[in-house]
Amino acid sequence: MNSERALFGYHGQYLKIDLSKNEYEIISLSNERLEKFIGGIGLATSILLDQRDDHYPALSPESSMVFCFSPLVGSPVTTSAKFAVVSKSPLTQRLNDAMAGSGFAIAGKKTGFDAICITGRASRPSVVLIEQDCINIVDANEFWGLGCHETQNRLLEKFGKQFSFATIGPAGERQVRYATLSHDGRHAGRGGSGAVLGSKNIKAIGVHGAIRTPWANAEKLVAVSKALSKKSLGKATEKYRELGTVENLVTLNRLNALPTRNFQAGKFEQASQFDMSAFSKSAEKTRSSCAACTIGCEHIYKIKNSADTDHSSARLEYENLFALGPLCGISDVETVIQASALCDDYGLDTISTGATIAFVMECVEKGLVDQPIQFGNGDDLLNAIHAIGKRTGFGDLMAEGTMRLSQTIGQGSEKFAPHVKGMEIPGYEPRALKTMALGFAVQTRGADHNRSGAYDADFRGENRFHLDSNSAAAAIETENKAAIFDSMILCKFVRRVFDDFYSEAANILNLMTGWNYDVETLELAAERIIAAKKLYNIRSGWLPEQDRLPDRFFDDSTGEFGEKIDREKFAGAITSYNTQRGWQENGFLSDSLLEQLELAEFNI
Amino acid sequence: MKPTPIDVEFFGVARLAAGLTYIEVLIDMPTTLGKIIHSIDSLVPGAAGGLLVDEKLAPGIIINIDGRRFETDLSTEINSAKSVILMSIDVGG
Repeated sequence: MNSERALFGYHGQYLKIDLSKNEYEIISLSNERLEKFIGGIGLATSILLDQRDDHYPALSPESSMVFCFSPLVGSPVTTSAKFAVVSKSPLTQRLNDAMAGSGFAIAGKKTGFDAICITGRASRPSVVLIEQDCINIVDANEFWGLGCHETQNRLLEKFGKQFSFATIGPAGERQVRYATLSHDGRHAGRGGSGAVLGSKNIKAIGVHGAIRTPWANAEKLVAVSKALSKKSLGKATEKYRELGTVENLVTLNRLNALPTRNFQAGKFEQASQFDMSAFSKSAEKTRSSCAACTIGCEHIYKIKNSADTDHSSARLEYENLFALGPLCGISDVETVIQASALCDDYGLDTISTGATIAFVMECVEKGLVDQPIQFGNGDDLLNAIHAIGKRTGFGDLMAEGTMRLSQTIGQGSEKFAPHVKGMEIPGYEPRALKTMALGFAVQTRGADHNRSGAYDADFRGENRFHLDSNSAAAAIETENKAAIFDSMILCKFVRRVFDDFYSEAANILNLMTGWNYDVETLELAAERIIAAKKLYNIRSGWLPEQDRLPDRFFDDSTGEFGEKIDREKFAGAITSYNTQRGWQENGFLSDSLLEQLELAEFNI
Repeated sequence: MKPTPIDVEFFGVARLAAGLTYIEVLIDMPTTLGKIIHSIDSLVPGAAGGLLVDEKLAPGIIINIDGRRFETDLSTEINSAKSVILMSIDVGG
C-alpha cells in the first residue's frame, strides 16, 4: 500500500460533528484506507463501520450518517460531481447508501474533508454550516416547515450563494421513513436519508470552501477526461440525452415487465398515454444536467396552468413516472407530473411513495382498508401524498412504508406488500426479469436498481426467464461494477461509454491519485466494498431469511412472460450468489474471507 | 413458400433513428435480423440507415424477438418470428 506517498485527489481526513455535544473533531484517513475503499459509497461505508453504532436504530441520536466525496470530485471527468450519503435506513434498519449529483459535492470537497460524519441530535432545529474548519450550528426555526425548493432559496438568500446546501423538506422533519435529502432539485432519494437528518433536528447542511486537492498527472487526466466526454456525446448515451429514462415505460410495458397496480400485472392497458415522445410535443419541457455532466439526462416538464411557483414543474424520470403512474393505476401524465413535484417539495422518495400508495389502493380494493384511496384516481393520489408529507390522518401510517403498514393492516396483506427488507421495489417486474428479482432479494439496502443493475443481464439472450448459477454470476457482475461506479463516483449512465470499464477506471484513478490500480485490484476493491456493506448489515442484525421477495411473486403469475418465480430455484440462485461471492452458503462472511478482503478490523 | 409477415416495432432511440413506431415487413424464411432491418428500407427508404453503423446494429440499440430473446448480432438466423422489437439497450432508470 501507499502509506508513505503524497496524497493526490484526497485531503486525507474527515470531519466528525457530534450534534449532542456540540463539538467536532478532524479524523485522519490513511492512504491504505483511501486506496482500499476509493471514495463515495465505499469510503463512506468504512467510516460508518468505524463508528460502531450499528446496534442503534436509524432514527436514534447515536446513529451516524456520512456524507462522502471522491477523488474525482472537482475534476473534469464527466459525471464525477457526486456525493454519497450513507447511514442506517429507517425503512430497513440496514445500510442505506444514496447518492446525488451537483454542486454540493464540489463545494463539500473544497471544505478540506473527504467526508463529513454527523452524529448526535441538535437541541433545536438547526442548520450546520461548514466553511473549511469553521463549523457553525445555527438556528433553523425560520426554515422549519418549508418545502425543499423554498428552503434552498431562503438559505442561499440568508447565508450567501457561496454555500451549497443539502436540505430536507417537511417529510424529513416529520421523519417519514422514505424522506429524501435534496440538493438543487435533485435528491439522494432512496432509503430515508432525509428522515435520518430530520431525526437529528437538522434542516440543512451548508458547505463552502476553497481547498483544492492536487492531481497526480493533471495533463493526462485532462486528456483522458476530454476523450471520455467526447465519447459520452455519442450513440451510447443518446437515449438519456434525447429521451430521458421516461422512455423505459412503454418499452417495459411491451415486454410485460412494467409493474402495474401494485404489481398485480406487468402490462398497463393505458401505457400509450406515457409515450413521452408524443407527450413532449404538446408539453413545455426543458433539459438540464448535473454539474460536470456531458449527458444532460434531466427532462423537466412544466405543469400546465400552474400558478404555484414551488410546484410548477418536475424532473420526470422512469421511476417517478412508473411509481406515481401505472403502479397506482394512474394514466394521466399531468397528474404524475404534479405528484412528482409534490414529492420533490415534501422531500419524498417517489418510488416508496408511489409503492406505498399503490399498496394501500390494493388493500382498499380487497376491502382490507376503508380509505378514499383508489386505483386510477388522481385526486386520491395527490391527497395521499399531502397526507404522507404532513403525516396527517392515514398518511401517518403510510409514512412508515409498506412493510410496517402491512404489519399494521395484517389480514394477509404482507403477501403483496411490495418491499424487500422494508424498501419498496422499483420499476422492474420481478416475474418478467428474473435476474433482477435475484438482485432485489440480495441487495444490502433492500429492493434496489441502482446498486444492482441485474436487469442488464435480463436483456441478454433469454436470461429474463431463467434462474440459475448464471443469474447469480450476472447479478454479481453488475453489483461489482456498480460498487466501483458508486465509489469513484461516476454516473452509471456512462457505463456503455467505456470499452473496458475496469481498465479505463483504473487508469483514471491512477492519473488522479498516482497509485497503481489495475483490473485485479479494482475487482478486489469491488468485492471488498460489497462485503463491507454486508458486514454492516450483519452487525445490524441481518438474517438470511431477509433476502427474500414478497409471496406474491412466487404465488401468482401475470400472464405471458410473467410466470411466477419458482421458490426452489430462487433459493438455489441465492445460495449460488452467496457461494460465488465466497460467502458462506447462508450469506454470512467467514473470518478468513474478511482477512482476505482486509476487512477484519471491522469485524466486531 | 409465401413470404412471412413480421411486425417490426420501434421503441426509444430506435424509434428516433428510424422515424417509425411500427411497420410490417414480408420476408422469406429462414432469414436473418440484418435482412429484416434492410427490408424496412424497401418500404420506407432511408429508415434503416440510422439503425446501423458500418453494417452493424448501432450502439445503444438491441433487438428482441417475440418478447423472448434479445440479440445484437445481425447475422442471427430467424426461422420463425411474429414480432421484432428494436429498442434502447439501456432500460435502467
